[in-house]
Amino acid sequence: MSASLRAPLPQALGIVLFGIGAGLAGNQLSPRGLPLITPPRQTPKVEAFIPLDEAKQLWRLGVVLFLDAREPEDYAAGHIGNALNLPAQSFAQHFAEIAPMLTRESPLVLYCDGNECDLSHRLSEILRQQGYTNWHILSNGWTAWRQAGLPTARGGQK
Amino acid sequence: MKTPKDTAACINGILRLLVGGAFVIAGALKIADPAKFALDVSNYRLAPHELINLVAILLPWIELVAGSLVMAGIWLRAAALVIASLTVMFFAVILSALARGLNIECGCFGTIGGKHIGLVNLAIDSTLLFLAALLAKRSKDCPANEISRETRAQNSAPPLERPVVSNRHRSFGAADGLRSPQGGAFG
Repeated sequence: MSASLRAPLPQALGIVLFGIGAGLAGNQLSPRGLPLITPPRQTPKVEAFIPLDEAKQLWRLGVVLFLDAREPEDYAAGHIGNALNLPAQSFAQHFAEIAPMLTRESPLVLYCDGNECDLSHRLSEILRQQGYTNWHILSNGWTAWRQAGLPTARGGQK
Repeated sequence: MKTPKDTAACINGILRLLVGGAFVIAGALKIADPAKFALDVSNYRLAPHELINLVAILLPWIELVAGSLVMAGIWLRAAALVIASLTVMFFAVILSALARGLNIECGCFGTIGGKHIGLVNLAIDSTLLFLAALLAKRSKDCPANEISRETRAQNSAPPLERPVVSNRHRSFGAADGLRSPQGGAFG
C-alpha cells in the first residue's frame, strides 16, 4: 500500500492521545488547574434560604443587594425593585459590571423564578467559588415577590 | 510566473492558516481560563457533572495540538480530520442547546465576544467544517504532496535491485547477504 493511501486514522488517534496527555500535564503544572473529577455540586443548605418576609425587611432597609439570576430578557420583563441582573448562565459576561459594587462580605439575596428554577443555586455556587459567601436565596423569588405586591421594576440594566 | 503547483501551495497555506489558526486561538483562550470553560461546558447540560472538568481540561489541548499541526502542515490529513470531527461535535452540541431553548454563552473562543449561542455559531462551525474537509481533500490530492510522499517512500525503501554490471568484476553479493528479487544471491 502506498504512503499516500495510508489511512490517517491512526495519526488522528495519535493527535487526540497527545492532546489528552498534554492536557493532563498542562493541568498538573498550571496554577489554574482544575480537579480532574468535578467536585459534587453543593446543594444550598436550608439556612441558605431566606423567607419572603425577611427578604422584604432587608430590601426596605436597603442593606442587601438583590441579584436576579435569570436571563436579561426575563429581567427586563420584570424584576424585584433595585435588583441587579447577574445571569448564572452568562456569569463571566456580566460579572465585570457588578463586581465593583461588591466586596467578598457584601450581603446578597439571589433569586430566579419558579420552584424548579436552579439558576439562583447555580449563581450561589459560582459566587461561592469566587469567594463571595454572604448570600441567601429567595426561593421562587420573582413570583413570590410579585404575588406579595412588593415593589417591582421593568426594563434592562442601566 | 506562478505555476498551478504554486497556486495550490498558496491556497493550502491560507487554508491551513485559517483553520489551524482558529483552533489554536480557541484552544489557547480556553486553556488560559479553564474554570470559565468548565462553566460554559456545564451550561450546555450535556456532559455528566463529574466529567465537566475533564472535558474542560482535555478538549482545548486537543484543539491546540490539532490546530498547531494543521498550521505546521504536519500530519495534515489526520489533523484536519480531528478538526472536522470536533467541528461536527460542536455543531451538534450547539444545535441541541438551541433546540432546548438554552440561552447560554457559546464558550467557543474563550471570553472573546461573550456572545450567546445562535445561528452565527452554527454558520462559523459549518464554515470551519467545510474548510477542514477541503484541506483534508487537498492534502490528499495535491500533486506536490504526492511527489513529496513518493520521494520519501523511495528514499526510505530498501534497494530492490543492484546493477548487474558489477557482477563480472566483483563477486560480493553472496558475501554481503544480498539476494535478487527472485530469491537468488547476487554474483
